[in-house]
Amino acid sequence: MKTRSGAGHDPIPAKYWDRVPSPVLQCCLGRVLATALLLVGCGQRTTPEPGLRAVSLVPSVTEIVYAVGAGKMLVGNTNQEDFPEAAKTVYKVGDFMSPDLERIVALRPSLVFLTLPMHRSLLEKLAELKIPTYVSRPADIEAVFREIDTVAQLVGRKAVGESLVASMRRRLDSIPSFPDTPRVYVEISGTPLMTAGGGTFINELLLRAGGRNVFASSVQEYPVADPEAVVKADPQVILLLHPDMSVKDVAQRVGWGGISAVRNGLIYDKLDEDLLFRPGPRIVDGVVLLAKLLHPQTTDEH
Amino acid sequence: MRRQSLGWVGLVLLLVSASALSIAVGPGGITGAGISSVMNLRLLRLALGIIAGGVLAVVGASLQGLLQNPLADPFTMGVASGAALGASLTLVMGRTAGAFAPVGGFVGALVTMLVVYALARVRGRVTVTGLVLAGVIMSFLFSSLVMLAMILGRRTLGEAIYMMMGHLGAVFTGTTARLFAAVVVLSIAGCGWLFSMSRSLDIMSSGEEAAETLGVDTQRVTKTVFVVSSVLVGMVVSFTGAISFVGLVVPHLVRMLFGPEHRRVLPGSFVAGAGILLLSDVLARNVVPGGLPLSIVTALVGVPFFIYLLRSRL
Repeated sequence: MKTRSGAGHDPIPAKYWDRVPSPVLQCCLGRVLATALLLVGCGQRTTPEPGLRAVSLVPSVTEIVYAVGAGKMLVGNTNQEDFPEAAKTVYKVGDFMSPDLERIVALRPSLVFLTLPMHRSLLEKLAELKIPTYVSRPADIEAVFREIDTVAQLVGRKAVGESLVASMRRRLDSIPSFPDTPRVYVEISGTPLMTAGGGTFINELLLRAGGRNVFASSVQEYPVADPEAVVKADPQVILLLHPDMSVKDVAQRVGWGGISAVRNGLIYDKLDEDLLFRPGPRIVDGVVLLAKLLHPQTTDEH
Repeated sequence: MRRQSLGWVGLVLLLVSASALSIAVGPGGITGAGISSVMNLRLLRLALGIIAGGVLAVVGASLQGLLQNPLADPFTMGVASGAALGASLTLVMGRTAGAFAPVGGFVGALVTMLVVYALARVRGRVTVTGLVLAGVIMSFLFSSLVMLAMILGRRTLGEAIYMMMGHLGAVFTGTTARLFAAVVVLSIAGCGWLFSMSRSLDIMSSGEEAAETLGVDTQRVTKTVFVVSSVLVGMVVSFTGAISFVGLVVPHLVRMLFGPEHRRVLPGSFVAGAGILLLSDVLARNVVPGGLPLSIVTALVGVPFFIYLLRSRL
């Protein structure tokens, strides 16, 4: 266990802000600048509510915070956070994959939302600095509902969160169960072919939307797909969730001509990937999107 | 002589049995609906494996002879990483550019060749040590840049890993299949060109100065081998990513069978390289569900063999 007295070794020790006269610090560490940027960026918005100063490093949690009407409590987020529009103008603490600890600490957050395993080392450092954290790691849609409730409570919007979850549940339950479940191949990279295994969100979304992931038995989350395994599985629908191949490219793949999806032209690209990969308030939109693709007739009137 | 004939029989048996395994074993099984499509894919994979393994080993053998350096191969020369970077850059530029990844590979390899050449050139002469040092430095730089390109291009880490560690899982469209057909022809021509230089390589193996006193234009031979090697490796890497150790280990194995003469080492290396790469691929794709990057297998086989070589022969 490290001792607090050797504070000089820590990037910014835990209680630094309380002990040192603040004007000097504000100039040195750019807190003023950060706040100013935030205010300029937010335009007409008022200063963050006293009490909660949240930093979100997770796009889906940012979406939740905005969805429950607590967006103005966010004092920092990452370059990847682009929904809703207002999230783009929040002070950026770096990339999702490499957020900057000093920028986070300089914002004096009272809560930092992060995820594992991506932010493991950051989590340890924030714990050392005694900055409260919330780890977002929902494994399925039910867990997303629980997470919305929890995050809503944390930002003081419990009732809004509950009604949001209730409306999402209603929407999810209104998706009918389909008699046929087409085999679906999900491609997340074209060189080499990579797909999603059984433990992934997209796998559950497919199930809810009345589809069967042909790589559901894979133990890896995002395994490399052997091309001949795809041909053998004969998917009825192919979803391209990456930008480097188009429907036309896949239709022209050598040896793929016999695949049902290719023969019947049921290959889809340019889907809104955020609906399918962000476990947040728009996750049910993702299920609806997939259901419409997989069952165009049944969902017409829906 | 008898030893050499036996060696040839062994190498050909190796290639034939590796090819048979490669055709017979795979996640698609050997019977059932759609098996003809599966077989077509396996034949393409077989062709890719033979060309990749053969080219890497022939280039490794040529470079080792040329540089009188047992550690030379397409990777220590930086050419493979340069090709991987070129291919990665075209990939991250979007799907239209992605179809031109092979072209990016050629360009990357050629640019690396020019940079390494410029770095290694001291007072108008390209020295053997200068080349190897420049190659190692460039190889480090380009590996980092592949990672950087993939991260900035918002690609998956998996893509970067397979680009740097190799695979035979390339999916061909009509266009890339035609491109690959051209690569097959060019690869055989390039290996033939290197083979035609066997005599010069033999002489240069005994030392640059000795070669010059024997009337070999060492600068011209060096340049030609280096350019042909870069083009060969650039083409292969753009389809397979960077596969390690085949180019390093196979030539040593073949020299143990045939002795140091390049007119036997080069064709022997092609056959042995193809066979060993195919066997590695059979292991990589069938042992672990979902498959492994090829360099994991080639390194597991290659490193112990190389340590043995270092201890016993070099």
